[in-house]
Amino acid sequence: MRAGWKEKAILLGPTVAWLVAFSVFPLLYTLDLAFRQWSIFTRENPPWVGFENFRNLLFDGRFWSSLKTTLLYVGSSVTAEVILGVGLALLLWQPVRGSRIFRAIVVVPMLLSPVVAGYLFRMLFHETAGPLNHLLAMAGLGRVNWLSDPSWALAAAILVDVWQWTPFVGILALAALESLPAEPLEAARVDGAGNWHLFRHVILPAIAHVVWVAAILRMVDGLRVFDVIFVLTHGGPGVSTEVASLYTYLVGFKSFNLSYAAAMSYGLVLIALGLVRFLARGAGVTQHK
Amino acid sequence: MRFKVKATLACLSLLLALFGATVQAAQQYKGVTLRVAALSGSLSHAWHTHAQEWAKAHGARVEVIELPLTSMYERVMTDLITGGNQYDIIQYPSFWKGDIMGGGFAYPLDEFIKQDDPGWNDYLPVYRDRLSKWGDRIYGLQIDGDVWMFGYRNDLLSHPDEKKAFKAKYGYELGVPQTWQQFLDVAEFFNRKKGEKLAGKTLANDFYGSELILKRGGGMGSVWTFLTIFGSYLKTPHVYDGGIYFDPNTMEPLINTPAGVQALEVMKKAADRRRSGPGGLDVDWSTFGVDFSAGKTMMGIAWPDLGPFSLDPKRSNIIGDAGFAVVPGAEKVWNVAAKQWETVEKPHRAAPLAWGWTLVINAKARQPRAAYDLIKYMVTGERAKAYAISPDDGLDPFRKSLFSDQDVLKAYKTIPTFIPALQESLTVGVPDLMIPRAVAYYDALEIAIDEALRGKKSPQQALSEAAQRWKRITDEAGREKQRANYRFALGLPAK
Repeated sequence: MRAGWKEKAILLGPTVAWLVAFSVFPLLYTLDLAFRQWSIFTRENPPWVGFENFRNLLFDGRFWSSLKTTLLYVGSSVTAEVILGVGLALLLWQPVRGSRIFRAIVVVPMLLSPVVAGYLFRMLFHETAGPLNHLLAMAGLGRVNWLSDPSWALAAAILVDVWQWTPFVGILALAALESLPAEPLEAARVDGAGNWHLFRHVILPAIAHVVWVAAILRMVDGLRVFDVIFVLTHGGPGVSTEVASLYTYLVGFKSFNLSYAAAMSYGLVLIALGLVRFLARGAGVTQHK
Repeated sequence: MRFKVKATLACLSLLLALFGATVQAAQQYKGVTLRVAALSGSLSHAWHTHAQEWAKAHGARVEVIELPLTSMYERVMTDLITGGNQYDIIQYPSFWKGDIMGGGFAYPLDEFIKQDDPGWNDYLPVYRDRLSKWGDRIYGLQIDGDVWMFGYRNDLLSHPDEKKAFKAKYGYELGVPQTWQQFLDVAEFFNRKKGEKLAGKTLANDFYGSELILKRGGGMGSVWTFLTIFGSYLKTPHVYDGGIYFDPNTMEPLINTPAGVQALEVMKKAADRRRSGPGGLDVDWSTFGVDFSAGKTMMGIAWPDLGPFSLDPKRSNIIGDAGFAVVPGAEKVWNVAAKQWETVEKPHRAAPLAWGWTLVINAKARQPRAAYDLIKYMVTGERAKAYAISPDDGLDPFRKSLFSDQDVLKAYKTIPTFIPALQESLTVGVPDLMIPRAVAYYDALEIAIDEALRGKKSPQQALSEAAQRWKRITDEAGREKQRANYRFALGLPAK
């Protein structure tokens, strides 16, 4: 029996209403705000200014600098997570005793809130009282100003991200490995393929599409990074770790220039969409190979 | 007999009346809950102690909402602007005044003060007249008397061996630095490595010649170091009214004048490892406060809390050895009007009234009278005295009477320079920028300072870019409005 329109409305109505109220409306409202100049302090009706906010964005050096920092952050962390994640998956794929326990331990970083992870590493990276510098000093390598040297601060933030999210890529890669049929692997071994050859020409192509999807998911998440940076460095030293989302937050909530922050947010959405589309094409190509 | 009966009845009536009044006072705010927004950490200490005493005595409840420094401004302002009204009382630093008082978010206190005096005339004029009012109306009660001072190791400065060696090297007597050049000389002289001698003893660790607060971010950083030095190099008619930020006629920023460039040059030299500790550009208030009282550093400029810190047996290794003075000054000043440098007869100084916590009542507070009663309690009597003495509250003297109070004088007996230095510093006090969006202006300045000190940009380039950013903020906020607000803050007539 086919459902009539009344039944459909009743079943779908609440979901659609929720989506409209909490997804569609905020998106449209923010888009409208991006074309206005809203001064919260005067509480007047915000006047329409057209593309002025977007034009200002094009010439805002600090925005482009923060975007560059974000892309560097994302590029470095995702690359490291993919390489280490696949390596981790290969290790966990081995039939050793206790591998189930290792798998459970390995996902613990993922379970931590990013704020906690950020604070944890802030303690670890402390220049004078942190254990990391203490170990480096013991090894005769000298202290590193992890969070106060612009050359190191972004690397420190990337390290936190890699520590926390490599298991995510690893788990997905492991699932792909465990779903591989055994016959191609056995056939390759019989043909005399060594471990590296097996990995390079049999395993990697088979799991590539899963790893690619994991990379895309990490990239989307990385583009939105805020909490780790906020806790770890607050964008400093200087603006060396100021990522785009943090700058947007400062514009919106320190300067209370919500219109400009809205324009910035949409600028970031467009950039992120472009990147995802580009990478998703790569995933499509990988799958069809 | 009849007299005795009458007398007894009269006494009983009086006792009953007194008892009733006491019970009534105890229940005066029964059922009232007041929510206070305060900075987390030591600055909430007074609320967790004294405010709870008040609450217990009045049958009320005081909830203290501790907010972290990095997000306090956003959270308070978002709440006020959106009408959330989560806070009945807000403890905020003076440079938010333009946003809070100027934004109409504070409850006027004039009538309350007339009915129930919080010792209004006992307030130091600079706090009473500059920080507590917006125009002719009173909106705040000061709970903290902040003014930057110069702290140093008096024992080292007066050591005969050190004096002799200093004179031999620099050609003048070692003493409390009066100018920024002398500050740099003394910093260089006392910067010693582990194993070297200091005041006749061999150092077990490095000793820092100075430690300036230079860190960007966190809110209590480099801006006030810059303003101290910059203000000393600047000559305008309104320096001590807070006229160091803009030209009050044109709203042209003053930070990128040669005075600003000179200030950054001094800061760069002070941050050099030959004159300071390893923290360099990562030194914030907490680092310097700890290092100073631990005896790791010779001197620096910061809040008066250095005094009680240096006497606190829990944290200080220099009890009785600290000295205090007004901040060093400049030997020449940039005359903004004449656009030229001028030498001065005596060092020109500027001590920022940096932060200076004020209490306001939310304009939409449900129980403003109760809130006033609480904030009045917090700023009067033994509480005010306690703040002046205790190292735990993060609050400093804000009343005239405290400078002659025997308990306060006794508390600082071993560092006799402290109270006179505090009083002298107030005479060269420079208020914070107190117009709307001050936080945004300071943020732009902080970035410029950091970029210049790290060598990413020259001081002139960094400050010029900050000035451009300031102009943009001014335009976004409304140039004429900001000009009116700024002139208002300086006590100038609107043109």
